Amino acid sequence: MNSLTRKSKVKKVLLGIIAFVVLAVVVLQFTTQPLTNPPVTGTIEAPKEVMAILQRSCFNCHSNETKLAWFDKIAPLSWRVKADVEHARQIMNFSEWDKLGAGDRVGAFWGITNMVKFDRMPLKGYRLLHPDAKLSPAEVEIIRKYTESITHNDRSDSTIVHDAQEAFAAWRKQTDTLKVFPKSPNGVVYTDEFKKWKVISMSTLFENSMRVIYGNDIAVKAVENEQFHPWPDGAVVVKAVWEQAPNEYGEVRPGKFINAQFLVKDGKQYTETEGWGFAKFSGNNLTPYGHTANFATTQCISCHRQLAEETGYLFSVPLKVNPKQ
Amino acid sequence: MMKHIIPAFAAIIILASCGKPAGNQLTRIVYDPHGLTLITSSVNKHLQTMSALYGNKEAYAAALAGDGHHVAGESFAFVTWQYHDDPVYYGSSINGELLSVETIHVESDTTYNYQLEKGNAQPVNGTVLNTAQRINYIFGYKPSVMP
Repeated sequence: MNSLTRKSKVKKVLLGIIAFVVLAVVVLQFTTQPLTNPPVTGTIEAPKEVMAILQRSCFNCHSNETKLAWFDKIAPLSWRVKADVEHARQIMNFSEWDKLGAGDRVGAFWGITNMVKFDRMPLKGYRLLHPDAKLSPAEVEIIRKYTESITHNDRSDSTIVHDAQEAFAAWRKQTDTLKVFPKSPNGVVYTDEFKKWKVISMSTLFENSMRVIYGNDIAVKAVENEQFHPWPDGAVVVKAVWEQAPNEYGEVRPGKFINAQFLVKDGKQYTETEGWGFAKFSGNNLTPYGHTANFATTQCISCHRQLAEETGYLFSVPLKVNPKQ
Repeated sequence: MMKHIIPAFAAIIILASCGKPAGNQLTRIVYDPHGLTLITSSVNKHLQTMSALYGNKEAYAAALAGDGHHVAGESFAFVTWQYHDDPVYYGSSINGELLSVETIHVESDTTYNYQLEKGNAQPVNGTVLNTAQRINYIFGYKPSVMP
């Protein structure tokens, strides 16, 4: 008899808890702001087979044409979905493609190619509930080929060489130096000290730029000791970028200066970007990139976070080689 | 006897594993230019090599002037690496194994001391240059434009 009473009490308590949870979930649905689809200002235009992949695998987060599954709309999951989609749209939005310049569109597709080639996108968490979003190897190849097809330098070799010669002549004559160094909106200040630092690596990108990557002493030691998780505070890496100017030896040499990209490690200051302060100073005036202090949270860190985690979110870290060679 | 040999072998193995990395262990190396700074760089897509020209202040001044005039004290190092596809970013390439290090010390305006410190000088347009040609080739580099 006693045991029956106990069982019925437990049942009542359980039912009470379930009723409370159901009620709470129902109430949550009314207190949650649903995800909205802002107007489409200019959808990306690409070949049919590319569009089919983008629409199936990317548009749900990276466009203003988000079509949520029923379970995506239920709080509290919907909170996470809303935050993720809004963040994804800030990083890249296929419905506002008209806002990107031609160069940025090509750059975006190199990012997309890398994300799908290295299986970083769609995100694994998203694929758990949306398994159809994953790209097949054949689809990755379609994206890669399309990216290469839209990558071409509009400037002829002779124009690049001519501009390189003019830029060099003007720069050699230049006697005035910058009195005040430019500052990125996030506080990173340009310094020309890097010109005296060691070169940690050299690289090329998309056949149209060549780069030299400098590191200060802290960064050089971190590379040699593979101290990447995290990199020590105070490490600074500067990537100087030029056009590729061909010459009579069948080589390319640095042409017109494009920009200097700074990465400054300060774990306390740059908490939103894995401890790295990003900055880009472009052209002869070293114009800083970005309008707000947090530009890197949507513009830079996404690729670094997804593709360069192994080396502490830095690209162009020296390759591992046999020291005896 | 065996009871002494086995611990002795074990001790050797443990000591060996605690010492310096084995000869073939891959490491990340930052080239030490011994106080010189970078003047400029180049990429040869046929040979898949990247080169860096380093120099002291005097060497930099001579490269900037580009008039073929050299003075005692100029010190250059021309360093070449093999390059590879970047393993973490498709579309990019990055330097890898060090192939050669060549140095030039200017002893007077007409005496240039060329040394091949490591490896072999890479051919230019398919031709291996003699020392005088090689010095001319390296002296032909202009500094990279850096605002």
